[in-house]
Amino acid sequence: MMREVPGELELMAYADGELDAGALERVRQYVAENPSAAGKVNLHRKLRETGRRVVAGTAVPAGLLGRIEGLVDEAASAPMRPQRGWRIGGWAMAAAAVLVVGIGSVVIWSTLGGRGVEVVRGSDLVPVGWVESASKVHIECSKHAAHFAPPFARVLTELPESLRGYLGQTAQCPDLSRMGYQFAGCGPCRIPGGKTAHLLYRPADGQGRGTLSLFVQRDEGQLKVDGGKVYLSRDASDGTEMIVWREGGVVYYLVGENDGQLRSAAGAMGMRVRI
Amino acid sequence: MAELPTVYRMAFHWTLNAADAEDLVQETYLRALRAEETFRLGELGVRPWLLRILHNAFLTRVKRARLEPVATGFAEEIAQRQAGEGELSGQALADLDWEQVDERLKRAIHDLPLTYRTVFLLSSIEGMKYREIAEVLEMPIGTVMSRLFRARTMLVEQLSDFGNEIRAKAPSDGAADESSR
Repeated sequence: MMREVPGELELMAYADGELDAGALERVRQYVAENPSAAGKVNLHRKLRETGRRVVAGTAVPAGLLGRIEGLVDEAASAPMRPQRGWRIGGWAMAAAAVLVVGIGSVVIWSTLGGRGVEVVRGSDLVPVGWVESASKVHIECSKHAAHFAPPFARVLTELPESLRGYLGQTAQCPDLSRMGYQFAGCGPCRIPGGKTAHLLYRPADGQGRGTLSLFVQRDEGQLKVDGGKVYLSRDASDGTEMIVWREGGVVYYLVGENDGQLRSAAGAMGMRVRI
Repeated sequence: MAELPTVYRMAFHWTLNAADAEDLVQETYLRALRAEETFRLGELGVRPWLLRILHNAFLTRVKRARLEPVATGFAEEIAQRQAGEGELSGQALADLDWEQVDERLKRAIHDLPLTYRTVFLLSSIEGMKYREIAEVLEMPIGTVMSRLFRARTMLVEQLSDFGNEIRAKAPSDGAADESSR
C-alpha cells in the first residue's frame, strides 16, 4: 500500500508539535525515511528557535511598568470611586514657603495661605533620588496621550472629586492659565512614595515651552516635611528641580522641564520663590 | 501584570517603535481593565485575551494611519495558494552557522509584512499553539498555518541571500589558504 506523502503544511505542523496522534506516526515515519523532509522539519525548528532567541530580550521600560501598575491599582480601588455627579471642587491653593534642597542645602521660603513660613536649611527631607525619578516619569508619561485618559475627570473643576475616588482623598488641582498653561489630563501613575495621580499641563498656545506635571499622593507620612511649607528640591546630578508640599492629607510634587518654567508655575499658584 | 513582558514584546515587534509600543500597551491595559468584568477566564485565558485586545488596538491604529494594508480576503487567498504551491527549501542554508544569523534574522523578521510577522511572532516568540493564535487573531487555523508557512518561507529567502554571501566569500578565503601553503 502506498503511503500518503505529507504536504508542506503537515511537515511544518509536525515540526511544531501540532499533529494529532494519527498523523504524527505517519509523518514521523516519512521524515525518518526521507532526508529532504527531515531537512525541512529541521529548518522549521531552527527558524522558530533562532527567531525566539533573537527577539527575546525586549525588556519593559520602567516608566511603562509604573504606568501599568498605576492603572491596575486604580482598577483595584475602583469600588471606592463615586459613580457619577462629582461635586465641583475648587482650587484654593494657598501659597507657600519654598525651600531649596540642593545637595544637602536648603534656602527658600514664601507664604502658604498668607502665613509666614520658616526657612529650613541643610535639610535632606526630600530624597534627591525622588527628584530624578519624578522628572523621568514626567518626561516619559508626557509623551503618551493614552496615559491621561478616563476614568479621571477631563475638566479641572471636577478633578478633585475624581481624585478622591482614586486616592481616597480629595486634592487641590491648580489652574495654571495665568501662566498660559492648560490642564491636559490626569492619569494613574507611580513615583517614589506610593500610588500617584499624574496631572499634566501643556502650553495653551501649543508652543514648545515644555509640559508641567503635578504628581499627587495621599499623605501617608512618606515625606517627613512640614505641612504648610513648600520645598524646592534639586537633583544633585543635573540640577533638575521639583517643588514639594503637603497639605490637607495630600503630598504634591510639581515637576517641569526647566527651572524658569517651574518658577512661573509656582508664581501662578501664588508662591514666591526666592533663591 | 505577569503578561506585561509578553504584551510589550509583541507591541514592540509589531510597531517597531518603543514609544508607539508603550502607547499601544497602555491602551491595551486600559481596554482590558474596562472589560475585565465581562472576561471569562475559561474561554480564552489571560494571555490570549490580552493579545487579542492588543492586536485589535494595533489594527485600529494601522487602519487609521494607513501605514500598511491589512490582509484582505483576496490577499489571504494568494497567501494560501503560495503556501500550497510553495516549498520550504533550505539548501541555500546548508552551510549556515545559526549562531551567526541573529542580527540578520532579526532584520528579516522586522521586514516581514505585518500579516506574516504577527503570526510568526506569536508562534515562534511566544510559543503559542496554532489554535491559540487563531483565537487571538480571530481567524481559522488553516489561515494561521498558511501565514506561518509563508512567513518562514520569506525568512528562508532572506537568510539564503546571507548564506550565498558567506559562500561567495568562503572560496576566496580558501584560495588564500591554498596559496599561502
